[in-house]
Formats: sequence, structure tokens, C-alpha cells
Amino acid sequence: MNKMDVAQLARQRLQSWLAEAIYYWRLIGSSGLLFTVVVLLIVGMMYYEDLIEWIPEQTPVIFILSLIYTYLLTRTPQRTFLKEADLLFLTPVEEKMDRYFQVVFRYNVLLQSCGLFIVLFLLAPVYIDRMPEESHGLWTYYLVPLILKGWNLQSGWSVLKLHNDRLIRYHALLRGGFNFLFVYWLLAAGRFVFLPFFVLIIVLFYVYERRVNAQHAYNWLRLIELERHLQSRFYSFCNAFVDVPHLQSKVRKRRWLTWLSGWLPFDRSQAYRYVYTKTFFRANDYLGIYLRLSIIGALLVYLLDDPWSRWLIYLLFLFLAGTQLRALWRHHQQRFWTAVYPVAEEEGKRAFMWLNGRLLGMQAIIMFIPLLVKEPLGGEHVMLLAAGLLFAYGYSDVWLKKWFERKK
Amino acid sequence: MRSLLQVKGLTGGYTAHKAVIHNVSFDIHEREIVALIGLNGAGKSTTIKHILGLLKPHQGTIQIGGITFAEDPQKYRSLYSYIPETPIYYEELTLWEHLEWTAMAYGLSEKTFRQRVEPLLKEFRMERKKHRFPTQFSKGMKQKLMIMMAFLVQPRIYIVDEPLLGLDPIGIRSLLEWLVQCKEDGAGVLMSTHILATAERYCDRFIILHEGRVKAQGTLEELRALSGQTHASLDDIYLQLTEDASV
Repeated sequence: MNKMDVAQLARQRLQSWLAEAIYYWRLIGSSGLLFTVVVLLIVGMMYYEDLIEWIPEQTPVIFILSLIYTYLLTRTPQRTFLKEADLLFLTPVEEKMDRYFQVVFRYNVLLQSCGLFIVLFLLAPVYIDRMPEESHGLWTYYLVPLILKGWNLQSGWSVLKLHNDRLIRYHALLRGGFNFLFVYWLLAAGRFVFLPFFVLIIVLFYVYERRVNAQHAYNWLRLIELERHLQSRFYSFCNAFVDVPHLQSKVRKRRWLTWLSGWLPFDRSQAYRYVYTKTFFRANDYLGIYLRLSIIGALLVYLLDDPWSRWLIYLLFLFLAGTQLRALWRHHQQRFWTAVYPVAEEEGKRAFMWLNGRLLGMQAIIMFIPLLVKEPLGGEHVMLLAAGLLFAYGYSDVWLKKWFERKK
Repeated sequence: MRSLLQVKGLTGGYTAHKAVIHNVSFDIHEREIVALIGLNGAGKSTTIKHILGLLKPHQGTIQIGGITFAEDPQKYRSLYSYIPETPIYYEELTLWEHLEWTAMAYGLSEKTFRQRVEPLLKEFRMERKKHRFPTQFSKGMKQKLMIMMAFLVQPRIYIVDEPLLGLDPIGIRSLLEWLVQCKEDGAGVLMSTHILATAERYCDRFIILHEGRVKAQGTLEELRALSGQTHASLDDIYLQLTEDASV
């Protein structure tokens, strides 16, 4: 074990992770997401300037931008690529692990900086539109948040050694507050007198973290749990597009939603509907994805005036929800009890089609309602809703049936 | 006594060209508990998977209540319930919902379900855990969930795969007493186990599986006669029979 090169191990794990991630991204790219993203980008670009002009004068744009960047800066997911077995095999070389974590830390900084840069870039026109005249220069708009990102990752990493969850949360909260002040000061071109104040706070953070670092060892259980969580989040994201075999599902209890499946009659024919409905509400955030698509879709349909774009977006978001929900079907494939219990496999398919139809129908209505607020009801609106409901029916009851037959 | 489960000349395994068990035959009747014993890799789990209908026999037939799996899968499955060796559950369902779902799948009425579920929760001391998710359970509690799911159905025959590991002593007693009660009510039980002392006390007959074949079967008396040791325990008989074979 003495000769073990942990940095080399970290690089190996990073490489195999990258290979896997690239594999999944390629599958996702060919699954229709790419097409959707391109369509959204084109529609977005067409309207971007109008949107910026449309923002009312009194909107606190800089305040909102600061909030967005604060969120992106303060959340610092730390991938470590640790595995459960490391508890046995790597703990003996604990004193060398700094070198391992350095390698993965660089990956985290690079990846998250890229993400932050993209958002900074996309929102830059909004900022330029409102940039104060005495601004510190556009280059600081890019540079300072990127440096802050690195600092946040370092700072967030060092307190992961703590055993007290609450302390970690307070630390993140303080960090968030500081990020906000700093970014707001930057974007609003605050006076230079405040700069020493920010530096002082960073020094205070540093002193505290150094103490934590010296007093605590790595919290292996937390790091492994965190890694498992982040990894399964990536997999469940991929699972929305392609089949991910080794997915550990994530369950949220959502007790307040229990009543939604409570009205299903207690009957054999409902057994699969029962399982699918519960799964939809609790597992892998199917519900969250569905709601996000519905709300964003509703918002876009409300904002777009051009009938063509409106129709396109309306149907596109129904289609997207349909493709996302297919993961719910795969969720219960190859499950043991469904193979052993006396319920026919056909029942499962019917139950899935049933739930799918209800959900897409609901979404068609959700995305339609804001239009009624905006404009008086006209023939075009009725057609739109009818098309949406027809799509929900056609997709769930005709297309899915064919899909099942093809899969046999 | 009527035969509930009939295994006749069963040869089978996980792939079509490689058999793991060979020419296995036995019967389980009403009102009896039969132990299926054998070393690791003797073919117990494979035999059970065939009985459940998860594997297709290469040769031979398996009938529950007179029908084979191929004849009517749904009817066939509704006649047994199964307690697996390692707990298998849905992360997204609570304990209570597992039970409710089981009742629905087996076509129990809501009234019957409510009548049966409370005594079970009480016996296995899980009343206060009923709205929890099994992910948060210990191995023993997960095992109790499996046991309750099986007992809720009250089928003709129980297939029980090594149920004792991980259970606390009270849980073991509850399980065994409940199995005896089911037997007295007319059910048949096939129980695979390594714990021979328990098997000797609770089981009416024994099937000794060795390297994929039935090495011996019968009551304790019959096995004693076969081995020529009149006062031997199941342990001794079992060791003698399997060691002879490997020489």
C-alpha cells in the first residue's frame, strides 16, 4: 500500500468518469434533446433583444442578476469519485489523500467555472443594457465571479470535514451573503472604499477554515454519501433520455401528495396504476421535471405573440414531457415483484398509458390557462387546446401502444 | 392429503444449455412444512426460481394446485406467495403501501385487507413503522416486510427462502408460529434453510439437495433409517449423507 499513487488513482477515476459522461451525453444528443435545444436557442435569439427592451425601467435588474450569480457561486457540488470500498482501501493512506483530492478539485473548478461562464455570457446583454456608467469594466464582470467560484469551491470543500451538518449550512449561508454583497457591489459599480472590507472577510473565512482543516480529518462517510448523491443525480438526469442501468433511485416522501392516489379504487385492475402513480409523485423527481416543463411551457406560450412560435412551443413542450415520462416506464421494468405477483404484464402497459394520457392532458390545460388571462377567448385558442389534448391522446393511446409492440 | 405442489423430473438452470439441477422430484401436501436443505450452490435457489415460474424447465413439470405455469401464469402465481432470501422492495412505496399494493395485486377486497393487516403489523411489531419507507429499515425489518406481504395473501402454498437470517429472536418465533398456524389452516410450506436445528423442530419432512440432485427425502424417521443411525439429529444425518457423496 505504501507505493500507492493516489494522484494517479484520482486521474484514472476521473478519466473513466469522463468516458462514461461523454458516452451518456452522446446518447442524449441523439435522443432529440439536441434538436429541442437548437429550436429553443433560435426562438430565444429571435426574441432576446425584444425581451431586454421589454423589461420595465423600474425592474431591479442588477439585483436579480446578483441573486442568480450568488446562487451559482454558493452551490458548490464536490465530486470526489470515491467509492464505498474506499472506506477499507483508502483510509489507510489517509495522510496522502490531499493529493488525490487536489486532482478532483481541479476538475470541479474547471467544470463549474465553465458552467458559470456560459451563464455570464448568456446574461451579459442584459447587464450591458443596464451597466452603470462608472462601471469597473466589462472584464471584471467575467473575471471576478470566476475567481469567486474558485474561492467558493475551496471554502466549501474545507468545511466538509466538519461533522456538524448545521455548521456546514451556516457556513454556506454566510458565504452566500458575502457572495451577494460582493457581486452586487461589482455589478452596481460600488465605491472602491469597500474593497478592503471584502478582503478582510475572505481573510476571516480563511482563518476559520484553516483551523477546521487542522482539527479535523476527512469525513469519509459524508464524502461518499455526497459522491453517491451527485452521481445518481447525473444518472437520473440521463435516465430521462436514455436507459441508465445502474441507477439508484432517489425518493422523496411528499406525504402531502398521498391523497392524489388515494381515490384509486381498491381493486386488482388498479394495482399497476397504484404503483405508477406513487412512483411518479415520489421517485427521481419525475414530478419536478413535469412541473418545470409545464410551467416554463405555460410562461413561453403566454409571452409569445407570434401564433407560429406559440403553436410550436405548445406542442414541443407536450412532446418533451412525453419523452421525459418514458423514464417512468423503464423505472418498473425488470422489477421482481411485478414478475412474481399475479398481475398480467399488459396491465402495466395499460396503467402507464393511462397515467401518461392524464398527465399530458393536464399539461395541455396548464399551458393553456395563462392565455385566457392575456387575451379574450377566440377560435384560435380553442384550436390550440384541442390540438394539445389530441396530442395527449394520440401520444398516450396510439403511439405508446405501437411503441410497446415494437419493443416486444 | 392432497398434493399442492408437484415437482416431477425437473431439470433446469439459468441458461438453456447448462442444467444446474437434475431430475428433481418432490411433492408438498396440505398441512405440512417441508424443508429444502443443501449446501451453498446445491441448487436450492434455482429450484425455487423454477417453482416461482421465473425460469423455464428444460425437462419435467411443476404444478401448483394441478396447473403448470405455462397453462395459466396469472392463476398459477395467485396460488403461492414467496418470502425471498434478500428483501426486495420498492424504494418509492411505504411499508403500508407495499401491503396495500400486494392486497390489490392478489385481488383481496379492502375489507379483507383491513382485517388481515392489523394482526400482522401487531405480531411483527411494525405498527409504528407503517408509514416509513423500507430504505430506512434494518435488514430484519425489511425481512419482516417480506414476511407480512406473504402472509397477507393467505395462499395455498408458501415458498420461503432462508427466512431466519437477520431476524431477531422474537421475529423468528413469530414467523415460525405463524407458519405453523398456516399449516394448521390447510396450507403447505416449502422452506429452504441452513438452520437445521430449527428445521428439525418445525418441519414435517426434509428434502436434501446435493449438487443439483435430490440426495434423500422423507420424515426424520425415514432419514434415520436410511442413514442407519436411529437416534441421529438432522445435523448428523445431513453431514453423513452429503460427505459420503463428495468422497
